[in-house]
Amino acid sequence: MAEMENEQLSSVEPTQNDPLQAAKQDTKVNESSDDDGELEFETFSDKLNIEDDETIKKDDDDDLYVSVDDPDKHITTMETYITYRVMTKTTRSTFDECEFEVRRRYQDFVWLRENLIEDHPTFIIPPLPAKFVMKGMLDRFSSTFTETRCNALHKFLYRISKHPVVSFNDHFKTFLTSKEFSAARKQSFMSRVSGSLKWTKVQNPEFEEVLENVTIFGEKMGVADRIAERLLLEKRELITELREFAPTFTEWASSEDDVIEPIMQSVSSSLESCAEEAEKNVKAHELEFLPPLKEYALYADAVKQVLKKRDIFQSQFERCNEDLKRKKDEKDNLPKSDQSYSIGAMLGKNPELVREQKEEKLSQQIEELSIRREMLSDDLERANTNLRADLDRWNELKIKDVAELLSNFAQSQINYHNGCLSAWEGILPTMQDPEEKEEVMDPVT
Amino acid sequence: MASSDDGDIFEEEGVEVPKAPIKSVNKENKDDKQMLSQLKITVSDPEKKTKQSGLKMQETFVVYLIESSPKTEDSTMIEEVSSLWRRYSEFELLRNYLVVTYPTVIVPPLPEKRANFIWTKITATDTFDADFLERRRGGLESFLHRIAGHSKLGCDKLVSDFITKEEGFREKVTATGFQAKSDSWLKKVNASLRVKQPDIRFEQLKCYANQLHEGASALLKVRAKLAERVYGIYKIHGNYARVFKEWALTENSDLKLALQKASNEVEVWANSIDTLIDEEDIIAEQLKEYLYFADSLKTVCKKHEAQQYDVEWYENQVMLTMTEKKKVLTGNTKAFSLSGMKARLLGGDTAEQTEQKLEQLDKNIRDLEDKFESHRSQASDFLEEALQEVEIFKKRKRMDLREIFISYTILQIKLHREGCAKWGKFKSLFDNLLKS
Repeated sequence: MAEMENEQLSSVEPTQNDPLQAAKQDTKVNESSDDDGELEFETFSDKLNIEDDETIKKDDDDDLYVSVDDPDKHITTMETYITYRVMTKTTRSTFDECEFEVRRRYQDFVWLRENLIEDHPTFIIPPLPAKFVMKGMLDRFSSTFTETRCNALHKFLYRISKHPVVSFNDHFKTFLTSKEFSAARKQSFMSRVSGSLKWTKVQNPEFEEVLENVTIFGEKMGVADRIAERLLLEKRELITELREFAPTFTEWASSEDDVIEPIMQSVSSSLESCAEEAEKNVKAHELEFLPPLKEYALYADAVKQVLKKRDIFQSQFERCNEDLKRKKDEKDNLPKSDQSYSIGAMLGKNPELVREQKEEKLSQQIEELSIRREMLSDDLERANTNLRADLDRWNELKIKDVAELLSNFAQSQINYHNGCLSAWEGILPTMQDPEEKEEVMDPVT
Repeated sequence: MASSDDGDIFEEEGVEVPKAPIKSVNKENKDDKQMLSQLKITVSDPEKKTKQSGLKMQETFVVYLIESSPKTEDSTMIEEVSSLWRRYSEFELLRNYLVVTYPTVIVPPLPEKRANFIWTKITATDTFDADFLERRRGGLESFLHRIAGHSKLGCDKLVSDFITKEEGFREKVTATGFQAKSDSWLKKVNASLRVKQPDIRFEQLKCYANQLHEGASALLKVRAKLAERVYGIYKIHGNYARVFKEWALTENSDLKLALQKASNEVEVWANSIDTLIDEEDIIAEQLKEYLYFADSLKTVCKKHEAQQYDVEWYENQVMLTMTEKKKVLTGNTKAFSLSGMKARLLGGDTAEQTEQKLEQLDKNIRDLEDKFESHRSQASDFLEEALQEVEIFKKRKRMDLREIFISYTILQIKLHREGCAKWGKFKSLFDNLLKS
């Protein structure tokens, strides 16, 4: 479902840019950081689990504010594309200045996201809006499409800026600040390690349950999106038909007497008002309701990707563990084994010597494997912890976003009904004889 | 020559016709002798019935129960509750009889034979479909009410027989001989295309009838489209009910509860369209009556034209005969006319013959003038009465249309109030979530 191009799972070798990993190697994460401003970083280097850190939670998130607006069309001989203005306001000392303004195009966002995923395999990176238009109804340069995409890109950067770890990513900073961005992009591209590891199934009830729930959630978002698309089509037709209906009243009214004629004219004008209300409703539907549905379907996919990567961490660890165990067993069995038929013996070596050499080799291997196992175990632990924390954050965010989405949807429905209601209530008194005005029935709700 | 034919324009030679009572039409429907004020009439319970028709064939048709009961204690029309079964074709027969018998009256229309302007929830164009029968039932009831409420039609014996005596209706109607009259004026209707001076008011009425027909058709057509669209939109929203329910299963927080409640709210709201659209369909059926009333209007215009045609014809005949008389008096000087040649060949008329001819012509002229006069006065009476009936119709129409459009408006208000309320509830579910 995701239109993301990043389908491959990049190598899980931790790169230089993962601050936690870098922290393991040396305490300084970022050359340009000052000690006093980077409380978060120091604690990162000491602690493994971000959610243990109280300061981060209490910290006011507004030390970094990012916005996307002002889509602008560029026409060159090669292509036509749109750039967006990306503005940054920050008090962080990791940045050279307080304010930045750059222009970026969709491809640049894609570059950013791919890098973030590679740098932070254990964190959930927000999705980008779809690359292509699904139904082909609107073209790439229609204002609705551009506006929707602009809003989605803004949300994307906003979410990243609010992430306690990812917001400090170097590529992110480059994206926000660099004036010679295309050069920076190309450079980074080459340094990307690409390699894919096959995802194997591992056992982990906790994360399996999460995967199941997220999968169902993603499906439901997809269904909701399809229903919403259908509704959009129907609502558009409704507007057309209301506008067709209204004139049938005025047409007929022209041959009626002066009691009926004004009544029919009133009905006609009410219908026109309803058509206008329906137009507003459709606009809200298109710009405010549909995009978040699509976004969360993509977001579910992003979560699934991270879960899969975590599984890889786990499988790597488990394999290493098995290897280690095998080697240990081999070593333990060595004294009892008969080396007479070993290859070494056949080449003329003394079986005893062969045994000794083997034992030494195994010991070395076991040593190396043990170190690696420790490292992988730490990786896994950290991955699990990070992911748990991020999942919690994601769930909280999701609840809030979903509640807002549905509340707003209901609000636009209420606005539509209210608008129509006042149109109809407005004409009723003129239609009724002042003497015979009856109480308009209240519907049973 | 037929006996005096005052009061009936469709008289054929030798056929006796019961005179239609000419009642003053100035009173409103509050006359105590009015059928409608005395009786409560209902049409209900459409039921299928089968019977033998012809050799080996069976006929299946629908019958409707007509019940009448006295409204007040001193109703003289019927003593007690009467109930009987009638089928659609019997209503048709009654109506055809009334159209012929009361030519000045704009006879109320019957509900349509086949479903027009119907949108489909389920396919509803089959004549035995429940929705179709229900619409027809309503239309038949309205038809009877309008007839019973009419000062002339309501007093007709056959009308009261129709609702009180089940047997023998068909025979009684046939006995009136209305069918022959109906056939004869159909012939005249075709001839009436050549009317030279139709009354301008009827020309206007014809024009209005066309506009009414066109206007109502256009309106009803779009209404049906719109009803289907609105119905569809509500039902599509209903699909969210299932999505929310299934989604709720994956949540385990306040969101779960909110989603489950929201699912119910959406389902209830989506289903609310059923009753609302049914109400709108009923209003549309009432509007349809006026679509078919346009035909009744045109019929009256045609009757006027038929009469006018007769008047003009007799007028013309009188003129022709007078011209003929003149010719005889002045003698025929035209050398190449037929009579001129006859005179040449066979010798001219004797004085006696001329005298005889003149006598005959005078008699003819007198007869024609009488006929002309009677037709003229008949036409003028018809005109006057018909125009009064048109005024009654217009008054009724004004009331009815006003009612219809007010009902429509009230229904819209109801629909939108419900929409506000339901979505308000829905919204508060998620607003509460945001607050906590």
